[in-house]
Amino acid sequence: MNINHQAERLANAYADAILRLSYTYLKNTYDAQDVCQTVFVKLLTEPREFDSAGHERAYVLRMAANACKDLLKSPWRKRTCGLETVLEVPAPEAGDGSVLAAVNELPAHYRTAIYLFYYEGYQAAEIGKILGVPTATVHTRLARGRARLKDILGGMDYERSV
Amino acid sequence: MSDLFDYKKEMSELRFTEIQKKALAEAAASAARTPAKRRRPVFRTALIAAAMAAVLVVGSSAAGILPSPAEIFTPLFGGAAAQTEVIDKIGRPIGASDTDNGITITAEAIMGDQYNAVIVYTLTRDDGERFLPEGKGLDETYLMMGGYGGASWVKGGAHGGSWFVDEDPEDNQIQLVETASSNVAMTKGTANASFEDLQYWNAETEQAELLYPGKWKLRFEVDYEDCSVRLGGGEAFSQDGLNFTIDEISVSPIAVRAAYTADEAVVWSDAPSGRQSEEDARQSQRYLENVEVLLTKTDGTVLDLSNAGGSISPDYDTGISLCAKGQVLEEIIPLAELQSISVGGVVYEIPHN
Repeated sequence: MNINHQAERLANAYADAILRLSYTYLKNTYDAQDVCQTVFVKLLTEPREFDSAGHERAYVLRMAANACKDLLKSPWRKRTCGLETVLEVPAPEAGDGSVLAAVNELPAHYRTAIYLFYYEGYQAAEIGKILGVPTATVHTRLARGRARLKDILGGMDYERSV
Repeated sequence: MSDLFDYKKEMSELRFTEIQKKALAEAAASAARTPAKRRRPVFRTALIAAAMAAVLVVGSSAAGILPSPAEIFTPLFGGAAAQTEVIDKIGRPIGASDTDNGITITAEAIMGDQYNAVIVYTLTRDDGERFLPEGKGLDETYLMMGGYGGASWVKGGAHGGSWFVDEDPEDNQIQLVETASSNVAMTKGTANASFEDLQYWNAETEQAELLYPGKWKLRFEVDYEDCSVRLGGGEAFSQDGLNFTIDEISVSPIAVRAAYTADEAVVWSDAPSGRQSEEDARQSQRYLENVEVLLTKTDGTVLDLSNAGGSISPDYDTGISLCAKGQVLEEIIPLAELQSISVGGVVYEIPHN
């Protein structure tokens, strides 16, 4: 597969997942292009063998999570304006009282664990591998994230939603 | 659970269009074919330069003489003979320091052109212990400087960035490199630099944590030689429904700047927060980002500087917008090694005399 076809395959397979994970981390949609670019270029220039499609997907999400963390902690992000060409994707409407708005109120590490658990359907051990943290830490983040959601949303018990 | 269903539904709606995915793929494939740019100073280069300068460094420290700009800049922006010649011509030592809580920050040297500048600061642990925590280098320890985090000496629109360099993780120093660009002349002025509370990113907690608390304020004079060449004036191009007239192109061995006028006054939205609205982002693209800036070297290498930061100043009386975009280059490129610059498709040959 040549590089153009490989890039198209990656974009079709993972661009949306990276966009959602980027939004979960960064609470905006306009950095997602950079995150996609970082992940795709790395995969194109340093090809890897994967055991399965699931293995590749988890690896891509881990790379995307790392790229988001880099963006969050970059001194450049603190001091420069975002003037890059943007592939605009409207951010989802996080209306008052919606679960998305409530999730967005959580700290980034809770949001990410909740996204990967509830949306992507990963188990705690898999999330730990993606985020590079112990499984116990994922359990803690999920539990605390749920508890905070319960407070924010007025008593809904998300423990049972698993 | 209906609420969980809502969350999934809302997130599912977040997706790229097929056209956007195609653009992402094309951009990634194109970037993958391009050799990686030199984004950070190369440690090996730093070691070579340090070895070459070792006698000078020891001698100058003992005598209390400031290190030369070449000693400061060559490990960071290139140490070839032609590059050193440029630094010798335009670099200026500074030597201003401030100490708080056992940490000294010294503004070492500055170089620049009319609209851009680079300053290198050294951060030193005065007790001589290694600067970063044991077993940590900058690859694992992401630092964030609080306060303004750099120097300011002109009144005008400005943008820039900064990054840390640790040539020797075992010693008691690291360096902070600051780049600054403005839409007004920067070659002279009294600079005030302020820094506060050096923090690092804790990957486990995903929170910033304090590494060295303190406040540092430095004041120093800026006075360096502008070695840029000016090109253009009056050339026109059109795109995105706008007609542009180039006012001036400035190219130096360390930076480029393009100033041009658009025939419409940009109208910004009344977005309440500091975050750029989607409409403002669209306008910014029309006036700035979409204006292509390509710098071509004599060896055929093309540097795409279209994403340089800049400013848009609307004049609602005359219905125009004054725009300028520019940035400091990742390494020094002597003018003799530059062939041309293209702005909005208008190509200017760079004179070598």
